[in-house]
Amino acid sequence: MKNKKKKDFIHQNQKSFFFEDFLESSQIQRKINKSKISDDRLYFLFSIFFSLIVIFSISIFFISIKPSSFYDYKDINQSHLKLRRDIVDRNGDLIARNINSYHAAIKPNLIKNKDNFIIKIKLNFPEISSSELKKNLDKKKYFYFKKRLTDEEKNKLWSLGEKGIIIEPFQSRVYPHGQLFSHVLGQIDDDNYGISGVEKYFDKDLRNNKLSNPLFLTLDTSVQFLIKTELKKAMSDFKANAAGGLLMDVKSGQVLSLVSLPDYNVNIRNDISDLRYMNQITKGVYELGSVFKTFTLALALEENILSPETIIENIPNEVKCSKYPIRDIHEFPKKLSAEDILIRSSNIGSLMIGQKVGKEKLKNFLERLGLLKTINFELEEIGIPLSFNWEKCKLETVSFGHGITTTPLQAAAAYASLANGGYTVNPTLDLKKDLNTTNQKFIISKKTSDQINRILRKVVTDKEGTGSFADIFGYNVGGKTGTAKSYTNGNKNINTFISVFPTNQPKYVLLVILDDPKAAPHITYNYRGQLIKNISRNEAGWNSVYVAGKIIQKIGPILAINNNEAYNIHVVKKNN
Amino acid sequence: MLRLNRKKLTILLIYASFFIAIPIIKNETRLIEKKIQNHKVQIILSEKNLSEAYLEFQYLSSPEILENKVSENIDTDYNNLSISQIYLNFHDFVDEQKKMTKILINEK
Repeated sequence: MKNKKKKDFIHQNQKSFFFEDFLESSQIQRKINKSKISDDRLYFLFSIFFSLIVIFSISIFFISIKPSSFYDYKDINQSHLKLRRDIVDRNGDLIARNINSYHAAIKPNLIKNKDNFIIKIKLNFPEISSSELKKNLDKKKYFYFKKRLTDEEKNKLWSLGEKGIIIEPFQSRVYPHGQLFSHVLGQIDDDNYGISGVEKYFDKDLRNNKLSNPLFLTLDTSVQFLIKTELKKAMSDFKANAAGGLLMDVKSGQVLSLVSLPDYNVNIRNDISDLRYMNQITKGVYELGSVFKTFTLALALEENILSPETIIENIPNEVKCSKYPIRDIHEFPKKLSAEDILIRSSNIGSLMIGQKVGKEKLKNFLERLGLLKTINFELEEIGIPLSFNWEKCKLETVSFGHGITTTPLQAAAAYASLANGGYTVNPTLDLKKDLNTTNQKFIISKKTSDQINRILRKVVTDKEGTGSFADIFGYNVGGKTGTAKSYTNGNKNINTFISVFPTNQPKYVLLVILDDPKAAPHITYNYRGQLIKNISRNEAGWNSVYVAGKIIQKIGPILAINNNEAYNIHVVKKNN
Repeated sequence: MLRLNRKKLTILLIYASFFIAIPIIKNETRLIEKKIQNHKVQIILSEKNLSEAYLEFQYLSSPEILENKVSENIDTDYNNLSISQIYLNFHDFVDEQKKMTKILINEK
């Protein structure tokens, strides 16, 4: 109704057909028609401005919703990112870590009063040579004044307030246990790349920034320290050139301790050319002697050629192979059982067992034990066993461990295989390594393994055995000694003892090796309850075994705590 | 006419309230962000300090250092534990000690 009234009102007041503004609008229209700007141009300009407005509006929207980059957490966190991951032992104790450190460099062009600067430096760092510093300043080239500054030194340099002193941050690797793990860890270069040991083997893994968790090694710091302490003492007692110790889990192959002496401090850079500083356990390739007799006997038992009680008759005192005589150190009875041959460590007895086994079988067995090829282990420093032809006399000498070389690591792994029920183990330093039990290769039966463990125990407990000093109460230690001659640097002994404990349910294999140990008359030995002194013998039984016994006495309680089997056997029964 | 004005007024009011509220919210958010950031920085610094302290602890408690400190400060000669003295839990230890105490009392 209202609209109709409105329309009527307009009609009544209308004076002519045309509206008042008609003339004006027609004039505007005429102007537009006259103007040279076409509609298309206007639309084009409009679309440009409209698009710009849209673009700016969108960008303003995104800027307003985006968090400010100035306060970006990632940027702050970036400066604390480590170039290498931590390394920890099996218990989570820190072994290696990257820390922020500083180098001090000097830009000579920025130093106005050089004489004054030299005086200031000399006052704060008296050990710096003024003439050397002056010479470097005169060269007018950027140079490093002091590398790896301590906090105190850094603060001293800051307090000088010199523009020309540049403090360069960098990351350095520190090893809190100093030289305890030197042969295992290795070192890194200035750019944080691993150059030896575990640092090199796991280099890619350790530099992976996506991983934040540390690298877990199988080593145990406490056990490593105890073994090292005993070996160090042994080196001094027996005046040995070098020493080595290895403790390995017989089932998993995990290495709990790897010690090689002499060692070095990994926190300090040194050029070492002395061969004694090589890793005796993994890099050293030795003729280990009588420890090989166990392999010969194990194969004979496995092949049912003989049993531990089989009597070998007519054992001569000397056998001639080609033109070379082979004889025993002591005179043994003419009749010995197979196990007695190992207990007394008879060369000729082992030779006769070897001849019964045959060349091909012994060769294959040693190959399957992994003694003749290079071992796959997580260190760069790995020795290669010397290759040889199985010519005349080779079977005879190899059966008692002469004329054949391998690394102590491989020998220990072979003993682990014999002791654990008969399957091969690959020694490892990586705690997180997947131990695939489905691909276990059995080289001897469980029955043979048990027989070997019993015989090894007798080597330690039997009156005629060569390993009596390792008979530590509670641990059922078994093992085999090896005294070999090294002819490379004079006529010296390489004495080894490979022990397995507890022999009723083998858990660990411990290898002790001493390079050229001498007799130690000052030591009072406890020989089966009898104290004896002034001993002038230097076979493995009087040094390597003695050291192994001391080590087991010390590490035994630590291992037993982690080993419920030992606890159940020895502690619970006693309490009840 | 009135309806149209009301509409405009409502839009204007909403616009104005947003116009005032947005900077306030934005400023408050920034202040909270700053606080969060400061906390994050504090966390990083604390983590750094913790890392250094842990490193120091590992160094000072390394077996070699401990042994040196013990030999410097304590005269007691330590012996290895025999396997029969190992207890896996506290109750076993207490039980054993009780047995020992009873034996000693009976002896007296």
